[in-house]
Amino acid sequence: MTGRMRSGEITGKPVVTLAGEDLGQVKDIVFDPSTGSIGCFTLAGRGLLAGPLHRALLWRNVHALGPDAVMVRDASALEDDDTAAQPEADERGGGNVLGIEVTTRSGTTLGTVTDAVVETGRTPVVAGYEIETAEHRRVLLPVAGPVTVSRDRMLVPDAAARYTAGDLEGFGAAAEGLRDRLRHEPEED
Amino acid sequence: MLFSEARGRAVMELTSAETVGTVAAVTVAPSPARITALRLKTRGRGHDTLDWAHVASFGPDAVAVEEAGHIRDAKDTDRGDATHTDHDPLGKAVFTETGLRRGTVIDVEFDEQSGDVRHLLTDEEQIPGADILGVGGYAVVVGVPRETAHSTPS
Repeated sequence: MTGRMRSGEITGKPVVTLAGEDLGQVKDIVFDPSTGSIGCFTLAGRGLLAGPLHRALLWRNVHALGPDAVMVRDASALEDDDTAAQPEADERGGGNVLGIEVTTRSGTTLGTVTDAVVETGRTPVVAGYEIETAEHRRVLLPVAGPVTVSRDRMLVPDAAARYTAGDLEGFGAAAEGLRDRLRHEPEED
Repeated sequence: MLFSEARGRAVMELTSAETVGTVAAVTVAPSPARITALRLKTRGRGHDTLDWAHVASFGPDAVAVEEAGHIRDAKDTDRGDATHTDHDPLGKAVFTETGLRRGTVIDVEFDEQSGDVRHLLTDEEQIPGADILGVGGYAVVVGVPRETAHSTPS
């Protein structure tokens, strides 16, 4: 039983320790371009005039991601600086997967990534992406596990294109459909 | 009893029979959930933090303390201390450890003999004291059973 949200909705959520202290709020989401997952969050202080905190929160140090807050065990979950959020020299565009092209393994371009769909809970994962098609339609595309991402495109199984959803309500069924399909007819890696 | 019923109750010193203040607020610590201190309203004397350990009895009309010297200054309490005002749960937002908002604390139900916190009352429900993971400056965090970590159907 998990909820889902677009990664963009995480922005502004408070980061709260299990002891009930707030460490700040999520400012930006930094994707890990090697897996298409989330690498870390950058944080800002809370309040109208608060600036950036310059301390990154690594995805693996998140205790749980909920609809109302990002929970961490304690203040030590934060990095001492925000170097984790800095792009590496050989990466393009800050290691962001937003804006890159999505192509099936057989070579059909589906659209460009506009957001990621995140499953909330104790082991939050990127479960798919929102893409904008050439016809400017936005659809949600489930993925089953890490995807192959280069600076040019993100590769998804051919089957993924057949299990898209129009909204988050329909996304669960689409993701389930894709998982079933890949279990029975695995595609070559 | 509910903290809302205890608020305003006189705190008397047993050695002098004098009223040294009234109960104004409370601080709570988890595992086991208990009251760590009462915050008193005093007539400008500053001494306003009464550790639960120094409460001689919590009567229906007055709270007794052996001697007023046991009552400390809140400003001498640092933030890490369980009696710091940060640990007052009233009015705080409740979050589950999975990041779900569960209302706001409006009252504390406690045992006046032991100081054990039985429930936190929110505008929506009663949360057992045993579920409390932390009472901090920002929020109260409560645990959820693993099976029902999320109530949102998928």
